[in-house]
Amino acid sequence: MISCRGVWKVFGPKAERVVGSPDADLPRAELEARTGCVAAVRDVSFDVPEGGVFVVMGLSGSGKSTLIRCFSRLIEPTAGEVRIDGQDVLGLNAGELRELRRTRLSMVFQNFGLLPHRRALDNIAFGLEVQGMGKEDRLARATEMLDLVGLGSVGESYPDELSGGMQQRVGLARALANDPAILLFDEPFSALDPLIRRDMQDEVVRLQRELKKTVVFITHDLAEALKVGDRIAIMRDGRFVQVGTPEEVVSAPADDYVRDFVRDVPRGRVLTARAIMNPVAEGATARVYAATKVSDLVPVVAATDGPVAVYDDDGTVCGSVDRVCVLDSLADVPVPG
Amino acid sequence: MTTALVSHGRAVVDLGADPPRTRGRIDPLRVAIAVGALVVFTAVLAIVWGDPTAGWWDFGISQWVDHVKDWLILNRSDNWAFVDGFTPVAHFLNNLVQWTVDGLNFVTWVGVLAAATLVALRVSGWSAALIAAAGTVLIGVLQLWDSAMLTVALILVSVVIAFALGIPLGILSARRSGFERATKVGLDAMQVLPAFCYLLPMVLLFDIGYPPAIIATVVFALPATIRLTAHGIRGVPASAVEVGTAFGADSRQTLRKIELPLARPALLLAVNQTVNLALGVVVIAALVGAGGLGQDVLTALQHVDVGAGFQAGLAIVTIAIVVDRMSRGRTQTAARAYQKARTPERARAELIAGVVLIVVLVIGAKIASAGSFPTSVHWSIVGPVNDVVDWIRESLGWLSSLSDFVVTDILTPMRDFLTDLPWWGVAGGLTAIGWISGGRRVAIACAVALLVIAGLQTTQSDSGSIWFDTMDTLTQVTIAVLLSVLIAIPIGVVAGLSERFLTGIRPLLDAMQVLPAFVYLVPVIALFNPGRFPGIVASLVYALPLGIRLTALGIRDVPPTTIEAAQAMGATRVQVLVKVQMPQAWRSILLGVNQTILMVFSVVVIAGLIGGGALGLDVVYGLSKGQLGLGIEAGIAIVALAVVLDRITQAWGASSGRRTPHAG
Repeated sequence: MISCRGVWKVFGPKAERVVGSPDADLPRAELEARTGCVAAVRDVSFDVPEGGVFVVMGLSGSGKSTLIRCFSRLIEPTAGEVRIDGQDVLGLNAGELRELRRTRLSMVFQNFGLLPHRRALDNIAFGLEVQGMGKEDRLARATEMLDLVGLGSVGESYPDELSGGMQQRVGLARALANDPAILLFDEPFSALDPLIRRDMQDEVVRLQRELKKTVVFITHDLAEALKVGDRIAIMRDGRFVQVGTPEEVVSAPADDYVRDFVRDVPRGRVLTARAIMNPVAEGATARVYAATKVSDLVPVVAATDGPVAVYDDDGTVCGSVDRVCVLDSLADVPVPG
Repeated sequence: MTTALVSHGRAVVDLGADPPRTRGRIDPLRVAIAVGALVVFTAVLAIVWGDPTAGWWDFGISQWVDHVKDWLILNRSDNWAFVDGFTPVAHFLNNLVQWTVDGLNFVTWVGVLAAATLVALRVSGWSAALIAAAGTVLIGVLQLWDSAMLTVALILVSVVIAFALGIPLGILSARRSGFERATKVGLDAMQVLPAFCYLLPMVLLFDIGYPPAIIATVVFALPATIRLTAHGIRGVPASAVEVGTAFGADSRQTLRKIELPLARPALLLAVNQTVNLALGVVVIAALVGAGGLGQDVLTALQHVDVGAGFQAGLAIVTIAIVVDRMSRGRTQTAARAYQKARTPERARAELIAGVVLIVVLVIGAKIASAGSFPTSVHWSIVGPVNDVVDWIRESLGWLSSLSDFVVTDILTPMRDFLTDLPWWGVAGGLTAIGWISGGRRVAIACAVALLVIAGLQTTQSDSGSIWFDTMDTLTQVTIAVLLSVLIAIPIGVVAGLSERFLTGIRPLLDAMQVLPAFVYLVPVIALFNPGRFPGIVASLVYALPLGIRLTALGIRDVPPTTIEAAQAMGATRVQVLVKVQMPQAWRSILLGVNQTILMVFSVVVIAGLIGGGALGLDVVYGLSKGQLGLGIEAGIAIVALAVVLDRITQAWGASSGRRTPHAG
């Protein structure tokens, strides 16, 4: 698992002086004018449990790519604490840090980050090669990974002979090759066409279900965040403005900024019966589980006049939904009364 | 919302408080200061130094150097610096060259042919292999095999040393910007000076023969090796290096598996340029007794035996073209196809087959007791070329009239004008040009350089003083540069506009650029009598390709959208050229002028060998007639004059911020 406490990254001269000072709260331009520094990440804390998918969502310049580089110290944090499986990452020496990068976490890059002078297979085997694994072993492992991401036959090709989607599958295979417990995704799909992007998102969800990695996923696409994440952080100007489940973010935005973001989200696909249900009502004619998405409730409430009972996972009735509350949740504006 | 508005408001206020500076073209105060300073400078020169320069402003370098030389003759064998320092190094270099020559002789011409062909095939593909094979055979057929092998040995030793030093230094320079800044001035100077000048001090330290040749060559080629290596490493995308770090590669793994492979094209270019520059110096090093093909050309020039000069020159040209094609590498698509077809097993098999083939051939040749290229197959161009020269001399009399006209009606009056002027007038004038071109710093550089030249007062040469010779060289350079620019710009513009024309002349430009300056002296003495004019022609021809290239490049670099915009507004083709393309190409053209001057300069000084006189002749005297003091003073004057010309013209194109490696 990953745990961050009070992580800061300030670029510029005497960066450590900015941390925690009143200056740090200034808007970006004023901070830069006053101190010559840019605060990319300000006081960020969060935990990702083992097997969890934590998505950091923000617009460009919000500091999310800097944040993800702080975990493996590709960028050295200015202050704070990063722990991976309880181990203090910032205290590691160069050799221990290399060991961590080689075996415990892998990264998938925004522009794929494939090495143009290596074939797909050699790209996938790169991490293993760096660890010192023998040639036969690492190529066998790379072939296995290629199959896992659904690219059987392109091992001999060079990156520039592959489509964007294929390149990123190779990037994904490379990240999986050294079997890390943690995967870091830095806007992996933002350079892809929308249709391919959707395929790749499905691929990540599938792999996550099969392999149970701990994932930190950076994106600027809210739909993507809602789709792959089980917890989402909205980042703005280096800070987390809201952290919560997709449902919480959509149903209860923390401020106007987040509200603005989630306005166009198809709420029916995010909200569940639990989020919109009324107290338990008598005379239910049908029943649904609490985790049922609102869009799937529509046919159910349409088929019956009365309330529909909502069941918890353990089989107890915990509430009810009806046509009014379903329609209410789907509307952009609150229904009066 | 409010914060956004406020900060926006602040931005506007800030702009108001600090209005954008108007970049006035002429600031009267600064002009007054500049003019005042120049007048004071010139007046000080005129009053304090006088004309001719006062006797106290004499560095006496010549006398000092000759003292040192005499002392060296007596003490070379027992002074510690020589016994423990220079002399062992000289011995070592001597041995290296000798071993290499022995090695080349041992494998016989068959082995050399096979090795050259297979290396070319491996690095650059089939056409390069064919050229390598044909070139090797041609050199043999011309009956210059032994000279050529000595030249090749000198190049090999110099280039290996240049790489051993240059690649690590290049990597260091890419990693540490401090190191790069610290070495920049030194490398700049090393690249600007004509190779000719390096030979003199080396002779003082290492005596004559291979060692000064090797060291001068390494010094001349090293900047290109360092810079191209650093350029290649720095050109590796940061994202690729980050991938390495993210997967836990240490710095050695990052260098070996990411940076060096990705820098491969630049490294190949470094090889190519280093070898090319090395060849240029190695042939001139005949002047310090290094021998080889350069010696053949030199002897021919001294006896005005144009045919023999052509023969040896052709061999040098062949080596230049062969090594250039060998080290150029494949085109990107060919390289990709080649790499794809090459599985690791096949690569190993190829290597073994190649080595076995060479070994078998060498053994076969040994059994057949081959050695140097067989004399039974030969082809001499000496006779035919000399016939052509005789014919030219008899029937093309207008050529020598042209030569006489330029010398008596342009060069001599111009030189006399410059030398009749008081020296402080010339110094003040050039400093003023420097100030106008690049401001105070350039002016100071020019002033210092000219004062240095004025302090070289030895008058042992036939022609007069160093100052007189400097003015002579300056006139020759000026005329050659003017002619070169007048020819290069129109051709460059046409090449920039017409893709077909450019494709047509590109092979010619390529070939012209890889030839050492030295060989350009041979054809011009076929056309003109020895004197100042053939040197000018040789230098302008030598500099043409780069001038044409940079002009064409400037024209072609104009973004198509800009041209489209002009056309959309109804501009004619001529208007597009004059109003859009030429102004944007201007910087590239000025850079071309800067490079042209340096290239012309390097040829004009070696044209001392074919009657160009002036500083070049002083250096030749220094090298061949034992007047080392005079030679070194002339060398310093050449350096100082190069600084003046380079600073002034570099300032013209300064803001372009781009310097192509100076191809010698």
